[in-house]
Amino acid sequence: MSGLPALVVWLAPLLLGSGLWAAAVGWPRRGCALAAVFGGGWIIGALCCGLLMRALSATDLSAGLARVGVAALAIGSAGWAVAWWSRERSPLHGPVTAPMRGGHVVAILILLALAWRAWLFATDITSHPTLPWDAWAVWQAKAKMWVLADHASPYVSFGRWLLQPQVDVRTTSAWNYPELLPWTVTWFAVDSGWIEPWINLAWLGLWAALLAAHYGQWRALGVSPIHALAGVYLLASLPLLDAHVALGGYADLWVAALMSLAGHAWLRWREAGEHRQLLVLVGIVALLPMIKLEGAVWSIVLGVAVVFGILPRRMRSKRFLIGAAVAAFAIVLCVTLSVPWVAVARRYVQDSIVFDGGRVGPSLHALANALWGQWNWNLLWFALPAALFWRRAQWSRSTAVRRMFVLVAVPLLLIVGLFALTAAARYAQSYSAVNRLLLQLTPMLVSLLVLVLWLPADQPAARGSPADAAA
Amino acid sequence: MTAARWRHLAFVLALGATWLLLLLWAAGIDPRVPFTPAHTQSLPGSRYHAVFGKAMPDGQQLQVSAAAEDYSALQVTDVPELEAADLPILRYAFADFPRTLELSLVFRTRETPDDVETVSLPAPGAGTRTFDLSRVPTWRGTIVEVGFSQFPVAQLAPPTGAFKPFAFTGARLESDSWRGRIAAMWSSWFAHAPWQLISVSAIGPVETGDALPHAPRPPLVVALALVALALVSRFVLRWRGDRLARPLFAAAAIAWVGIDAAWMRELDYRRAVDRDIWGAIPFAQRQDHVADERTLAAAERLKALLANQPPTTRVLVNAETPHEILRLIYLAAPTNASSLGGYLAAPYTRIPSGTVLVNYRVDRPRPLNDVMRIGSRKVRVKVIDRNEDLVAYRVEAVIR
Repeated sequence: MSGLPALVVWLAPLLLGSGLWAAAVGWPRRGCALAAVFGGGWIIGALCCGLLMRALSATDLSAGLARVGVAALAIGSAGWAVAWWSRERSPLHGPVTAPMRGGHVVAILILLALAWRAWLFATDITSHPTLPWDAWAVWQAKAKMWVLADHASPYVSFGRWLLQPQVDVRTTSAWNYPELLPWTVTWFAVDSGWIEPWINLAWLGLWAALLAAHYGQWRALGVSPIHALAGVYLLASLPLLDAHVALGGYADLWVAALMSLAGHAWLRWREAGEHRQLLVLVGIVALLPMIKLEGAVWSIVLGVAVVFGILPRRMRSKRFLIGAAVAAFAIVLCVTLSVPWVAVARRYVQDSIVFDGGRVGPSLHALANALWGQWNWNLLWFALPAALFWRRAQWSRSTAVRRMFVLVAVPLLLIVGLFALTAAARYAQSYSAVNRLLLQLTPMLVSLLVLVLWLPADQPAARGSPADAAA
Repeated sequence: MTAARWRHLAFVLALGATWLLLLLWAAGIDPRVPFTPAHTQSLPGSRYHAVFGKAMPDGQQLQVSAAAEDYSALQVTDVPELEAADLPILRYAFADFPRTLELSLVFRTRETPDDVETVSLPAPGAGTRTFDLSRVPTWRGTIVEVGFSQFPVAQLAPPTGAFKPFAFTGARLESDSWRGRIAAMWSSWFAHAPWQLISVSAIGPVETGDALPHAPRPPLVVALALVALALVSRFVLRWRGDRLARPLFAAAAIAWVGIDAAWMRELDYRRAVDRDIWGAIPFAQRQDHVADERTLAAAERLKALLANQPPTTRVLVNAETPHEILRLIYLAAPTNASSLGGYLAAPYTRIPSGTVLVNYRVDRPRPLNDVMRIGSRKVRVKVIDRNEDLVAYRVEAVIR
């Protein structure tokens, strides 16, 4: 790769995504809003560059740099123009946080620790080829074929592939998995060709963007700068999350980032009445199923959360019934449209019709070991229950914390149910999948910890009365 | 002494006692065993001889200078009959041990002399490591032979460059003691490991299922220590509310940073292993320097074979394991390949003429008089390439 094309590959997602983000939520008027716009924007932008690669360059991937680069420039600039045109002109009044004594020293230490970690990641990622199994077997396999062939042949079922030998199609066991991540990978290869250490640096970009976005979101919710920075350190210091950065190639960190960005957009809409955050939420709900099969499930959870929020007050008493109906409708729709995740879920459910009581104990033990018995999560799974218990009086009055709690608890219960009660139990007992699914919720769990510990009670985010709480 | 001072003294004693109990549990110490081992069995490096690879004694050490053809090395020694239960603590030391090798203990017992038992050991690094063999179910009976084997880190290090000469300083078996158990726990906590296949799913286990014996890991032990601190502070010092929460919060923050520092040290080690393997190779060529070198060579051969074929040419790959099949397909990109298993799982599908069948390090399915039976189908095939690892056939015609 050479200088200018490499710069385009890395800056186009930033311009495109931040433009879309700013057009959706408005012109950033604070530094912390910039962090959310650029952090969240880079993640959304990288995925949108993947979408653009598919739309504009599927038949000629080597032309993608120019085509997608120009499109990203145009869309991103238009997005920023819309944001400027629709900006609020009223003077900005916000909470003023008293600086913490010694806060600067703590902030510098945290930034140094993050910089050291980033350097370790960068030098490790650029050292090795793609290592983890599913990365080369699933997520990068399609992208590599497409990049080296210089065009993207569709992936079809094995039977169709073999029965139509003259047609330019391919197959793999994961032929019907979502393809947005492979397309995104083609974008990061568009300047260099297939060079794995270079392509996998995208996961370092994802990590940095994830941290910046969370800093911005926590600040927007009223967390002080030093506490938001401490939260960033908590998030960055989770070993399994770090492993997904250093061993780039898996899809789970992308899902985790989107899930958390959507969760915070939902929270800001519900807490601060920022209706434009719904646009971000809708965009992410559309992207999640394009990355991984379980993304569709998380999209349904987020969709139900939105329905909860828009219910008129008189219907609140029936909200759980309505939520269940919405979820059922979404599932029926997915079944009707033969969305791939349904087939996977059906396989687990069918395998699990005979309830195996003997499987539950070992599965729950393995799940407990994954949470508390290994290095995976530092002290997160100890600290979170302790903080919820310690601060129960404060957070039970804070609608922001309660809402985040429910938004995390529902997917967690789904995961526990999946691994304790279905055939997926074997993946819990082998640790091959359970932690990766938990990783998809981890940024939201860290956010819950940050809000429980450091969301001031008198900030706007906590001003809602208990009657306003969605759950 | 005032009541407050008595309370503080009681706090220190209660906390000390609780943490001591926690240490005993984490290290698996029976408090009745002595602090230092009552007896030991030293096995200096010079006592061993090479079974695989080359090694020569050098003073008390054994200089291991080369690996065998399969890139592994093994050094063993006979031992006077040792009761495994009497000597559960293993201490071992190496000098200049390459980070690209894994280490295992190998032993044989009088009861089952034909069975060679192996135990994966933490990387030796510099200094002495300790391992608690009482957690290993097979460490039973009378030990008659002990050895150490080394091999390239699985799925990570390319075998050809993994071995570098090192010195085996020696090993020592010890009877149970506080010192030995604590040292074993320390080694279990802080010994390094390179990136593994499981690393993207779980940190700590070196294999799926977390089946290898180990002491409870630091996050759990540290969290229990903090719980003990909270309870003793609450019930002995009678702290509550913010008075209790503030020091606990500070202790938890310190513990979090401490665990993170240990993880950063580990992350740095894993980076160093990767730099050892790929650091000297040009950036764009690092992806061609892989642990499965033979599969890469087969993939390159297959690509060259099909270079002038239409890109739509279907290739069906068969190998011993799904891992080999998937790796060959990935490394042979952009060859239009898939697994033969996919065909066997779809019995109503026909294999069209022109399809290329690849047997990688397997000799089945094998043609008889140029006719190959695959599942319920028979096809006439022609060999288009062959070497010791790979045979490629072209389907000439479908018989039925």
